Amino acid sequence: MSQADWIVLGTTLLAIVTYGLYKSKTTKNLDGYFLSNRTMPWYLILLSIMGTQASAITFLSAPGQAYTDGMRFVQYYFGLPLAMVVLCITFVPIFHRLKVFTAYEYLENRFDVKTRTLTSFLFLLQRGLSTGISVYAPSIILSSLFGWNIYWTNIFMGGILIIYTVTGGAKAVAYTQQLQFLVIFAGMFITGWMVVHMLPKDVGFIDALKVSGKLGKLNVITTGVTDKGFNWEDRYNIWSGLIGGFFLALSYFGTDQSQVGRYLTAKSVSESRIGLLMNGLVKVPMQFLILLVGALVFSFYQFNEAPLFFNETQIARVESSPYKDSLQSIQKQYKALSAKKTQLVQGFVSEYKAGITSGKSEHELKMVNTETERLRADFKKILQKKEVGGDHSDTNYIFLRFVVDHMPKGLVGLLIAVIFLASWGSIAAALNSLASISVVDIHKKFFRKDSSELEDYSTSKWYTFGWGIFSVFVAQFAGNMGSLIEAVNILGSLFYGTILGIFLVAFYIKRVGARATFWSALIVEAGIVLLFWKSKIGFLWLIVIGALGVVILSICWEVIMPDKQRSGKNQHQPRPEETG
Amino acid sequence: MEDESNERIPLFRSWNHWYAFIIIFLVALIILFSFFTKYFA
Repeated sequence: MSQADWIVLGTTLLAIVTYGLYKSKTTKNLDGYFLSNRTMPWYLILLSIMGTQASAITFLSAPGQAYTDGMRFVQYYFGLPLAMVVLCITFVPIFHRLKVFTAYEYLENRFDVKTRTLTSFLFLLQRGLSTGISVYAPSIILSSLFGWNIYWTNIFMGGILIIYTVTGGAKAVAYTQQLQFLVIFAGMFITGWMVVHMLPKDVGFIDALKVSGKLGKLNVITTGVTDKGFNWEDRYNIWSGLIGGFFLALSYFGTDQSQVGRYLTAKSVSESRIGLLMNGLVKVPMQFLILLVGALVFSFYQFNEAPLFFNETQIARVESSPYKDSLQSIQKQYKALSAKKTQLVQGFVSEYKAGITSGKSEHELKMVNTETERLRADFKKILQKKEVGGDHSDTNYIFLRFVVDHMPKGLVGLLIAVIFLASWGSIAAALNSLASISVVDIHKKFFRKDSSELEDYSTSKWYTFGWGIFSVFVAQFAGNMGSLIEAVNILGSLFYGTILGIFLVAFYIKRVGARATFWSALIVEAGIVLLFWKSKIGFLWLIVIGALGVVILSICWEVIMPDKQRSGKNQHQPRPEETG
Repeated sequence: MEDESNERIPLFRSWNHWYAFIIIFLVALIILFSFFTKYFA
């Protein structure tokens, strides 16, 4: 990186930390520290829930995903607006009415302390580990690209934000996320504009779209149906997006404290609702635009030679392995094909502009692209050899490699800052939520029931600090976890379904009691782990199966073995949602 | 926090109108994306 890049990066990060500290004045109690005294307006709620969901990987991986697999990844978000509607109807009013600090607090009111603790434990396990991976995932990419020491990058990625998150709690998290999002959007918008600007002079935005569209990268809507029927292993299609994405979004926004904690800070139910509904409106178009940047980068690399593999560390590994000669042979063929591709794409654009529809240049361009993909696949096969090792996917490196190789000085620094800020936004919210569950659902429940407000405030700060250190610690060992995004997704899909199932029973099936729900959740969780281990089913479907599994099994349990003790108790003690 | 029943609903007359708007917007986006996919394919 140039000096200008370092200055831009350093200034941006310092500004965020300073702003976070400036905004960190809260009342010294749990309400102030975890819920900003419930004073936030809807637009801060919106930016906060978007900033929590969008991690660094969102901005690194999504353009790369569009480059390799096309824009169909956007379908993954189709269920989100529907989930926002369900949340606003059911979850939000109940959480607000009961004035809970955490989502799991409600489960004790509805069921018992055992179910609350089980759900809290599942959350801490899943979110604690995945936050560590969220620290490591962008760190390893930056470390590979710039040769930075991975341990120091982890400490910087996960450590600096601890300063303002510990000091200011939820309020500092929300205000910094607001500023972070402004920088992120400015960075992504400038990049998109620059990609189009760097295309040959006679090639415009629509021409670039035509190129990537003809080469299959603008496949926004896919059905997942093949000659052999519906492909259940196909991850991204309209059905997995609408159904699986709906369950994923419902569990993530409705039962994951890192999100629930954001909209509980709203000053009213209306502000929470508007924040969530606006998220339902803007999330899909936002993801579409991020993916579109990836599709444009793909078009750019039709006119310019693309690297054989975007993670250069892996190329260096092969160069010093017994497969060095194979690499040279692949690189020679790849270079020749790239030159041919550049000529063909120019011909394709000229024909298309002249209205010639013979399809000859289009066909040849497709053939050359298929050949270059075959060469990339051959190289990836070498990476899978035990003498080489390491990550054989370069999806996460595509966008940043493009930025580093082609963006002007200063802008590279800004885009590296975008990666840091996106990371900080989601990690800060995760630390805040981990601390709130630890304090409210565990510490105060089992260890210090009668602690003062000031003691709670101090304990919350220590828990936030502790979880921050834990995340950086996990990140230092995350190198052995294989594909990192997959690891985060799998961790989520293993637990989200069960947790969502518990909440669905709590909200909608009033006749089912604590015992049936608790044991059903344990059985279904074991089943989900087994299913993941023994089958290749797409991870989104695990959430659907988990949630419906808990609902169905708990109903059956209640019908076959009704809890007589509970029936008697409920005649005198109506549930909280009934009393309001 | 304000009492839910006293809160004014911005832009629309009821929350149900808001929910309908979100769903219609999603359907419109999917239709638009279908045209986008077909046009550039």
